[in-house]
Amino acid sequence: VTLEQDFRTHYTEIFRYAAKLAGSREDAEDVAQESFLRLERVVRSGAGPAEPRAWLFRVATNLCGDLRRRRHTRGDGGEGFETLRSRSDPSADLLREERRALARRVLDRLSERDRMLLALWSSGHPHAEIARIAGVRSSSIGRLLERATRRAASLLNKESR
Amino acid sequence: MMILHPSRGALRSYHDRQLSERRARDVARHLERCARCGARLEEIGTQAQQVRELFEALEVESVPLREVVARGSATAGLERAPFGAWGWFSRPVALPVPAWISLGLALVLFGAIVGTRPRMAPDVQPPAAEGRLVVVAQRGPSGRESRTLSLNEGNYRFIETPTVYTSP
Repeated sequence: VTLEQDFRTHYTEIFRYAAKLAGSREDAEDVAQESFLRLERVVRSGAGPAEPRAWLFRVATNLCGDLRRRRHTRGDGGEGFETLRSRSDPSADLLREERRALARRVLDRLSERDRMLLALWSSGHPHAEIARIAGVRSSSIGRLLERATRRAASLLNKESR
Repeated sequence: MMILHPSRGALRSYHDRQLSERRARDVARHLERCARCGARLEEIGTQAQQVRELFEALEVESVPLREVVARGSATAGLERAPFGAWGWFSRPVALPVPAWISLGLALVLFGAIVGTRPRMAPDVQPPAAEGRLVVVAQRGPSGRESRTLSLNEGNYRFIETPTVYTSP
């Protein structure tokens, strides 16, 4: 598999994953670009990863973490996530924006690992793959996901009140 | 008789259909007779659904690859050439014969000068063929280098002179 094939195959899913973690479309694009640039660098150096897809997700996760920390240091909440869907129905858009803001508040209060696990799970990755990307034993992933989900649901209930 | 209840982690894996067939069968059999685990599974399902909806709120429409390519090329300072594969070289030009001779001599002279210059560094290559992935490195006015990754899917000419690395 060549780098071109990896780019064509995985760009969209890396972008969508980064969008969930990064907070804006522009940041997600930057994260996706940077992830592939890093892949290109390691492939050129001859140290290409055995599993480029898992590697890309890990790098994208780290980049989103860096972004989040920088934003936190600057005191920027990452508001203003661009709504990409139709704006023909203002009330639906408003509702969507509220749901998005709520989701961001909940995610901001989760640990980095919980965020990553849940973002991967919600993107449809099987448990074994989540374990490979997160670097945890696959026998632990059910337990880790269950705890992360419980914490997220608890925060969601608190935030919704 | 001691009853071994499946852990919450196992129930979560069961909910996500990630258990082996045999283990899933054992858990299903247990759930038939254990109301407590049934209630736990229901709670796990509800929470999983809440989290799924949470992330759905953050979904964005995917960016078509063509758009990525176009944007990558734009930020890299590349411009689609207006006159096919040869760009502006293929424009019809009407010059008198002496002008063509002068131009030829100038080109020979230019070739001689360029030929004596050191060769390009081995990792710097000319732009990739169509469909190849290129990394375009450019230095902005502030001196900071920016790198863009793009699929070279069109016929581009450089409007500045970036360094283009083609993927191996």
